[in-house]
Amino acid sequence: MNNDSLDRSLSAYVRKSNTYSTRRSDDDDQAGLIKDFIAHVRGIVPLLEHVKDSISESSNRIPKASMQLSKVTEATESATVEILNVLEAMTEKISASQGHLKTISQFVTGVASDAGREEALSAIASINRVLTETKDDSMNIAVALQVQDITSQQIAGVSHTIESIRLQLAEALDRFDKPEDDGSAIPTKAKGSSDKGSGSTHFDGDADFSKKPDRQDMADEIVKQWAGKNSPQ
Amino acid sequence: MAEQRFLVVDDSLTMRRIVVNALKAQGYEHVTEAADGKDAVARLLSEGADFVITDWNMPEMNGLDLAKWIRSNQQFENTPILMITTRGNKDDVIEALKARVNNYIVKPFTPQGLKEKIDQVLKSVDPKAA
Repeated sequence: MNNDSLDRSLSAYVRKSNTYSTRRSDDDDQAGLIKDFIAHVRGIVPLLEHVKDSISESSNRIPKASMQLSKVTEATESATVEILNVLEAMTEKISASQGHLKTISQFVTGVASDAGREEALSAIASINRVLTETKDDSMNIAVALQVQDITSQQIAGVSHTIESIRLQLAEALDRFDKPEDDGSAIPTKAKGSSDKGSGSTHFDGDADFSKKPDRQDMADEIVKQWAGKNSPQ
Repeated sequence: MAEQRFLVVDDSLTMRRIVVNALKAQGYEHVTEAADGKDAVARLLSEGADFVITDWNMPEMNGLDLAKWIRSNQQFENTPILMITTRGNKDDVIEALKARVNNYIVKPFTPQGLKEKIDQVLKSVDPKAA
């Protein structure tokens, strides 16, 4: 409803009220109250327009925010893949070095004197141990990169939530333009909306990069009970 | 042990590579990958697999539906399935078990935890294995 139509409707109401007011003893008081009411409603209209503009502006910003979140996921995945490439190359080089050490070890066993052989083999074993530890370390780094998958699911959950908010804001804007709607058909959430992500969505908004064993322990206990119940008698 | 053919199913490239690397470090050389349940079904039909490791939340076809498909298919109904997922609630685990997955790992996993679960599953489906 714009200002002109509101003015017309309120003026008509005032005229009608004034007609009645001539027949009553407290006419002046009543007319004063109505005039105050009209002034108040007129003050609300610009405020509502301001609220509408704010909602519209916020709603328009959301797609950009979602896109920025997607870029974060892409960037972290790209960086993670680069790290994995380096780690895999490192592991291959370590394995190759261990192969060379084995050859050297066989050579030393065959040609060195007794005194020198023990010393050389001991040094080779030490180098091999360090290489194995380094290989384990690179595996641990790779495993820690699971954080990328888990945080990308959290980000997908946030994107889904803000998309739900965008839809709600869009519905609110519709209500400004079509005030005659009673709002009963307005969805409160986007389809399939859930912070967790249902079985059919491809993310888990509750994903957690926690190394505490409690969730795995709980899963193990359920699996154990399940196996007990379903094992052949 | 190392002759098992694994199929690793996850929509995250990062996760697939981490699981594949962990399997290879444990001596499993025959590992193929699929990006979602639908892709996994195609891989199973074309190449087969002795062991499926799958994520739950994936586009196209999720891990739960993949497990149900495997169990309903005569050719693969006894294929061991290990689910590795971020979903760590009691109801999630029960739902996965109802879909007849053999075991369940909550992300983030450790290579040792993965090895233990694979060994447990292989032992449960064939006591002579593992």
